[in-house]
This record gives sequence, C-alpha cells and structure tokens, in this order.
Amino acid sequence: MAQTSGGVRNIKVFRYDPQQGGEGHFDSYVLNIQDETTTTILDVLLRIQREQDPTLSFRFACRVNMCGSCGMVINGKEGLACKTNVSHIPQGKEVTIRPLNHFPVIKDLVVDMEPFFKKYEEALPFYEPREETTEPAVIRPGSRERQDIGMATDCIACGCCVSSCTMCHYHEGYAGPAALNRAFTLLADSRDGLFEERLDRVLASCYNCRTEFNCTEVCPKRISGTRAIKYIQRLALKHIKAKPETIEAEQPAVAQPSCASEMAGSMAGNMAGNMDRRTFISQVGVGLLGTCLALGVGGVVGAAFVGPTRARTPRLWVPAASLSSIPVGDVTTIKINYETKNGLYTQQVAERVLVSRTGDEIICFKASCTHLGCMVKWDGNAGRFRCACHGGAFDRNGKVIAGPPPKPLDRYPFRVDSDHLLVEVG
Amino acid sequence: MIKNGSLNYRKPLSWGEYDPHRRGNTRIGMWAWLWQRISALAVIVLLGLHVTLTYRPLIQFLLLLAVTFHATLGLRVILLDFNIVGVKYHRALVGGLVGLGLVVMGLVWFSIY
Amino acid sequence: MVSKVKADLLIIGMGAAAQMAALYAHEINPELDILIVTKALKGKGGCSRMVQGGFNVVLTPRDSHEKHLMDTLKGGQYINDQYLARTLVEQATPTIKEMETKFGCFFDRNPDGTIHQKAFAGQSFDRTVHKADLTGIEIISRLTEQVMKRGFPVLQECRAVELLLDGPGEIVTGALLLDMRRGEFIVAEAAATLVATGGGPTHYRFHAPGPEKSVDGIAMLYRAGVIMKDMEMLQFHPTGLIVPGSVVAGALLEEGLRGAGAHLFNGSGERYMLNYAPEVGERATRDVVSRSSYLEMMAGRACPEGGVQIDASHLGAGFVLKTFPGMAERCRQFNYDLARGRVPVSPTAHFFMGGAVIDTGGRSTLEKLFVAGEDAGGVHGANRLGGNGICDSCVYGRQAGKALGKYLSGGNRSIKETRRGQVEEFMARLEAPLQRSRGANPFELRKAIQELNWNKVGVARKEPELSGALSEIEDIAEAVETAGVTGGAVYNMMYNTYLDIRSMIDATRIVAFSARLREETRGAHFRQDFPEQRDDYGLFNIFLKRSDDGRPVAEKKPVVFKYKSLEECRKYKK
Repeated sequence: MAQTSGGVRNIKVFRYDPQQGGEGHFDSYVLNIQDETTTTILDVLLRIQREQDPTLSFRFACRVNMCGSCGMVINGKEGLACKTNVSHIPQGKEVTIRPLNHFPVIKDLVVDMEPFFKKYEEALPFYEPREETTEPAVIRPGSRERQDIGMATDCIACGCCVSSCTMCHYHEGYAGPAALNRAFTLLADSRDGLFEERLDRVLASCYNCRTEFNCTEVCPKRISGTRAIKYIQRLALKHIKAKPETIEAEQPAVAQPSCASEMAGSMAGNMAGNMDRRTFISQVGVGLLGTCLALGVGGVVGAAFVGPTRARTPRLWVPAASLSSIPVGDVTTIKINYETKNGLYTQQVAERVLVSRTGDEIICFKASCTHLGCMVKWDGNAGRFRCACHGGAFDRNGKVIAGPPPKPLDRYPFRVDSDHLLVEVG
Repeated sequence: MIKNGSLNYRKPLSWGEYDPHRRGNTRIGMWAWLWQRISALAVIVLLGLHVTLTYRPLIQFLLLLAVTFHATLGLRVILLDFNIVGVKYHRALVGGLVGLGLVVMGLVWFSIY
Repeated sequence: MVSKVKADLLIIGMGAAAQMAALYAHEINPELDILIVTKALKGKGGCSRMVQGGFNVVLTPRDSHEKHLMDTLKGGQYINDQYLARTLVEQATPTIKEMETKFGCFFDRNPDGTIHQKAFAGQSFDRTVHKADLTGIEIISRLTEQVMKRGFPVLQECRAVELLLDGPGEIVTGALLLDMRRGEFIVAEAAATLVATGGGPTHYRFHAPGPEKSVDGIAMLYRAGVIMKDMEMLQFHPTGLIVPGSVVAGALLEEGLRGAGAHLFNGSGERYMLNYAPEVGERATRDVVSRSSYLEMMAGRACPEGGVQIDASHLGAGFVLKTFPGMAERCRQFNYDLARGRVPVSPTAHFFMGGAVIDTGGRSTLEKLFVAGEDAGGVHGANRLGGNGICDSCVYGRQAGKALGKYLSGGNRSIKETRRGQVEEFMARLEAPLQRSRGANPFELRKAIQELNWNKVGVARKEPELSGALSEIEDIAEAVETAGVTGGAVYNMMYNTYLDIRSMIDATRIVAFSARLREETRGAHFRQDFPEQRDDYGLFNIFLKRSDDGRPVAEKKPVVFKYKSLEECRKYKK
C-alpha cells in the first residue's frame, strides 16, 4: 500500500508572456504536498494555478497518459506531466518544469506543436491499403511483422522524443523519432501499399540518428524510436539489394494464376515475407561471417600478444660456463643452447647471456632489449649495453639510460654449482 | 485560413537552455555517443603525437585507451545497427563492451611491457 | 475584431465521431470544403482517445445482430430508440471492417489471425474488438492520420462556444469559436454543422472523461434550442480509480477487467455483487454495479480509501499484465498493484446516454444541424453497454458523414444568414469576465458545481435534493455572471474554465430537471424515493428543450417499440 511521503517542495516553472515577449524566466512556488507518491506534476501545476497564480498556462487533456498533450521537460527529462509523480524526483530536490525543446513557445509551458505535425505528415504516416478489400486481413499475432511492430503503434504524438533528440536540434530537416517510428510501423505492415514512397521519404532522415537513445529513454509509452530508425536503416540496405528482384518477382506472380487460389489478403503478405526472409538470411549470413572474421582475427592477434605470457614452459637449469672462464670486472657474452617442448614440438633454442662479474657479484642479463627484443651488446668503451635497433642503452646494472626501452634488462636467475654457472630458462 | 503569424511566439528552446537539471539527466546512450566523438578527436591528436614523439609510454597508453573507447563504442553501434544485439540491451552493451575493451587493452599493455 | 471563416461543412470536435464524419462526407463528395475545429490539439481531445475497452461488433456467424440488438435494448432497459439501436448494431460490422481495411487500424488477433473479441459485461456473446486495453489510441491515431492525409483544415485549440442561428432560430448557420491561443473570437459559418464534441460529464467530483472536457456540445445544443432526450440518463462507471488529492481520481479501470472475471469487494471483504445480482455477479451491467457499489458505500461498508475494491489477482499476475498493460501501469503509478492486489475504486460519472434527438443520419431537430456521438441521445436508452460507446461514435460518425455528404451534394450547399446582432450579443456577454479582474473565482465555482452534482444529482437521487440542486445551480449561475478572470487573452486557462462552467451549469440544469420528472428507477437513473423499475409507468422518453426564459420545458412521450415488443425484451435472457 501507499507509503505516505509528503513535504514542502520548491517548484520552478518556466514563464513566458507573449504580451511582454523576451526570453522568459523561471518563477518559483512553494507547495506543501501531502503524498508525493500519488501527486503528479499535473496535480502540482493545477494546484499552483488554482491556489497561487491563475495566469499560469499549460496544456493537458486526458490526464491518464493517453492523449500526449502534457509533454514537458521536468528536471531535465522529457515526460508527461500526468505520468510523472513528484516522488520520481529525489526527495527534497527542487522541481523544475519547462516547455519542450524545438517548438515555439506560445505561453509559459504551452508550445506550438505544428512543427511536429508537419514533420509527422512528411513521413506519410497514414495507411494506404495495398489492395481494395472489405474483409480485415488474416494476420497471426505471432507473425514476424506483428512481432516487429509490437506496441509501436501506440505512439500518442506527445513530442517528448523530438524534444529530447539532440539531432533534431542540429538537423533542420530531420523528421525525428516519432515520425520515423510511425513510418516504421507502416513499412513493416504487409497491408500497406505505400512502401516505396514512404521509404524514399524517410531514408535521408533515418541516417541522422546517432544512436543516443534519448528518445527511447524519455518515451512515456516505452516505444523505442531508435529501434524503429534502425529497422528503417536495415530495410534500406535490404531494399537496395531487393529492388531488381522485386520487379522480377512481381511479373511471374501475375502470370501464375494458381497462386490466386490462396487467400488474396495473405498472399501479398506471404510474398513480402519470403522476400524479406531471403534478404534477411543473406544479411544475417554476412553479419555472422563478419563477426566470425572479426572474432577470428581478434583472437589470433590477441593470442599472439597474450599467448607468450600465458604459456609457461617448465623451468630448466642450463649450464652456461665454468666460473673460472668468466673474467672479473668485465661483461662476457655466453651462448647457451637448450631444448624446449612447446605444445607438440620440441624447439632448439640458442640464447645469449650477458654475464657481468664484479668482485663477488654476478648478474646474468638476457641479451634482448626490453623494447622490442633486439639483441643487446656490451660496449666496453662506453661501459654500457647498447641495442642497435632503436638506440636503447642500459648501464652496467641493466638500468635504462637512453632510448625507448620501458624497463631495465631482464635477468636470468642463476646458481653456481661446483664451479659451474647455471642459468634458469623457460 | 488562420495563421499564427501575429502571435508573439518565443523562439524554440534549445536542448539544455533554461534547463538546470539536464546535465544530471544525461543518459548512458548519450554518453556513449559523446565519448565516441571525444575519443575520435583524441585518436587523431594522439596519433599525431605518437608519430612525432616516438616511444613515450604515456602517449602510447593514452592512444591505446582512446582507440579502445572508439572501437568498442563503434562496435556497439554496429551491433545495434544490424540487430545482432537487441536495442533493449543497449545500456548493458555500453558497459559490457567498454569493460571488455579495457580488459583486453590491459592484457595487451601488460604483455608488451 | 472578429475574423470569419466559411466552409461547406463545419465539424465541431475531433474525436471518433467527428473524424469519421469528415472522412465519409469527403468520400461521398470530395469537393466539400470541410473545416474541423477542436478544443485540443489535432486528435488529442475527445473521449474516444481515452477508450480502453473496445468496440462491440458482430463478426462471426455464431453471433448475430439480433443478439447484439437485444443485449443493447436489455442493457438500456427498453427505452432505447430501437431504430437507432438497430442501425448501431447492423452498421457496426461494416464500420469496423472499414476501419481496418480503409484506415489501417489493427485490432488484436486470435492465434489463427482473425480478429479477437473479448468479454464485456451485459453481453450474450464475447464481441468486443479491442487493441489490448488502449483501443482508443489505435482508433483515434489512425483516423487522425487519415484526416491529415486528406488535408482537411483543422483549427486547433479553437473551442466552439455558441451555435449561430438564423432569424427565426430554426436554421443553424455555424458557430462562434474562441481561438484559445489568441483569446479572439472567430465566426465560422457553414452550409451544415456537425456537433460531435462528446466529452461527457465532468461536472461531477469523480469523472472519467478528462477534466479539460466540459459538456460543451450538449450545453450548446441546448442553448440553441435543439430538442434533447432522456437527459437524466447519465451513466456512472463502477470502477473509477481512487487517488486521493489527484486529478487522476475517477479515471477508469476498464470493464474488460470485470468481463475477464475480476471480483469486487466491499470494506468488510465481502463480494457484495453476489447479493445484488446473484446470477451474473460482477458481470452485471454498469448501472447495476455502480448502484450496488454506491449503496455499499452509503451503508458504511466502504474500504479505507472511501470506495470498494476490485481484485483481479486470482486471474494470475501474468494474465493481468499481458491483457491490461495500460491499466496495470496506471495503477502502479499510484502504488496500486492491479496484478497482485486489490485496487480501490468508486463509481465515476462517465457518459450521457441522453442528448440531442437525431435520426439515423445524425439530423437533429434544427435545420442544417447534425449531431453524432455522445452529444446525441436515444441509442443506449437508460444504460449503455460497455463497448457500445466507441461503437456509437464510429457508427454514427460514419452515418452522419454519409448523410452530410448527400445533404450537401443535393443543393443544400448554401450558407444561410446569421441573425444580425447575434454574434455581438454573444461576445458582449462572453467577454464581460475579462473586464472584471475581481469577482467570483471560476476554479472555485467549478468545484462547487462538481460537489453539488455529486451529492444531489449523483448515483442516487431523490427529492427534495433534486429541486434543491435546481435552485442551487441558479445561485451558482448568478455567481458566474459576476465571475472575474485574471491574466491576458492568450491561452488563458482561467477564462476557459469560465467557459467550461457555463456549459456545466446548463448540463446540471437539464440533468436535474429531467431526473425530477422520472419518478422511478431505470438503468442509470436511480431514485432512492422510487427504488422500483415501473414498466407500467416508466416506458417513456423525456423530450426537453430550452424555453424562452432559459429554463427547460419537457414532454414525456411513450417509447416506440418498433422492432421488438416489450414482451420480447423482457423475456430475453442472455
């Protein structure tokens, strides 16, 4: 049951008086609300009008989210005043109410919806029967077209989507989500006869969508304008491919009277269905192929990078040289050879070990640059390790002194076993 | 017919104008779009830097980051465009793809260095 | 400064009846210059859009027009105009088919792809065509698009305030409109005028139609001197949502809910409908259920919110959410769970069965004046069946459109002259409140009218309350004469409220007047002092018109049993 949550709210309402003109401003009202969970923004506006300021104007009609008259921007989000409860706005926060974007403001919260209807009309939003019939078409509710259309025909033309869409702002000619949604429901409707004309009309518009989902987020009827627009975009792709086929397919259909034995109403629907299915399958094929390729290439590249760090070969102690053959105070390059088992095959590996011996201390460096793995050589004159490829240099302790290497030279673990130096590889 | 010409309309409000709470209400889809544009610019700038100033780990890291963002958000649009992922998952898609991209990027980064 | 517009056909309103009429008049004669004026935005006003339930129509051979007619007569407690009722049921079938095939409506389907029909109360067959529980949106959106397609000019947010007449007051020459956006009057003259504003009884505390509607049509027709019929027959819908303190209060939970088997409980948790209508329970007609709920509430067995409770949870949450998505969502918005819990409801003023007297082509008793939809009376008798409302609007809109098309093609395409000085008289009276910034507050007067009607001309009526209401409404009418309006001319909602209450006062006058004359209980008209339905007394229709002093005068005429005798009607069992 309703948990009561009341309180005092600051309400800021946008005011514009056409007799004074100007930019408009916000007026603040303070309202004591008994139960915010059952008080709509429309109630708030009506109360302000009746109790505090009778000159406030706004538009409403049905008050049960069926007419789409009371669209406005409430705390930065488009919505119907009758469908937004005060409790939807975080407790204690002020409520700001302002008219929809992209429409001329007549007075206060009332906008002129004419631009909306104009764009709506441009998308040919009306049904035109494909053929004269007197009986309603037999269409299963589970059919592909009805599944696609779903509840998208429930649009109440409130203009919230157009207001929320940033692209409607940047592109004068953009029809906007509502018009495109209606076009989509008709394009998907097998009963409709204006497919080509309508597609032509909306094609340019539908590429203005930037997949921001603003329209989807604000729609009070939970219709996704984005989904509709994407549908039209895909339809356009199919249509380019299908165009020559349509002409071919139509002629034999007329020439074969045997088809006419089927129910006339559903025939047209089925044909369109087959056509769609063919292109649909081919498109899904392309899509899947693309995805597989992307995944494959991505996998190989990924494995190439990630693989070496992942695949640990068993550790191995390799004898390098006898301790006495390594001079003190110098750096000696020693070649080591060993075998590793890598997966299914055995590999002969030859590596160079740079052994630096100063007094008691011995360090065994890997002779490969930590930048990109080029061979590192000891430059006795300069007293540093040098990489020939990109000019990397390391000091006696392996520390980077110049060039691109991101870290010091790698070292081998080693031990001395009865005058023999062994390094650990793997 | 009656024209509304003589009525003194206020010019249409534009997105965000007189709209104190709009920014707080920016939704994830719009962020995704915005970040893809920003990352595109970043890729251009960082690519230039990468070519001129070679082997700076910081630049390389940022470039990789920008590319990751741009690519994953681009992948999002492709997946939605071709209905490979339904639009009702569009929110999860942003987080999922960017997250995945960052993980892969992390692995790549640490395998190089 | 008054601007003038002229057209062949002036259509007032933009709901289903108005739009159907425009479309069919155009079909018969595409050359007609049709002008539509609406109080709201294109296609957003009117109650047709708010239809949730659906459209009663005979579509299968298992059902018949005969049965639909009998259900309608039985539901109307025999005082329907049988000629109109028969046209309704017979024309409903082609109408719904044309709405699908010509205008692109798509109603819910059976799994095999044929049109689905659901159960509604008071019917012998499940014949209600629907689109989930948002049927009105589908119908009105599709019709509005067709109107767009044909490019009829639409004056939006222009409300008709008075009908204009010729010298002797027998021919309607057009209407005086108020352009709400500018606050300026427009004289619209036409060779024929159709009044199809609908927008029923908002002059009650709980009302189902949207609060911006204000009985303008009925009030205008009455003021113009049209003969009206059975104005006491005002339907209360039994399940209006209770939302304390919100304007949503009174909004409907549709009948399909009871049709599907939802139960009603009083405050003591008892299924009281089993006491009042043991055979059908909650599936009794609206008049019976509303009256029963009201009696329970009056007997002190109301639920804590002040009404009764509807419970659909035993139907299964999944079923409820799928079948009634619109209602479930509306309930959720106000913290009620329709799918799993009980929701408080109250009877709510819903529909005028009465209205202007028309023939099957929508012709009224004045020349060049046609009426369709809720503004017309006689089709539904004393009680309207759920699902017959949108059916009435569409069928009679279509009928009127066809009749208008023919009428205007047959040499009647001339505009008669309006009585000199009439426009100026109207304007002088109507503009007066704008000159008074102080005076009675229209918002408060509106509230007073709503309370008065709810308490004294409501679900249950009796003397001396009805007479009291009649004198009280005159007091309010006097106060309205001194009403003042603040603010400028442009989109002044206070001024519009003033216009609303003018209509509401006339509606109150005629409803209360008519209710006093019928000393029996019949259908929606429940007299506590005459609780019995008296067929030996009550088989008449009350015809009423405005007399010269502004008060109504009435005449009772016996019901004409044109097709079905009283015996047949009585014996008919569903």
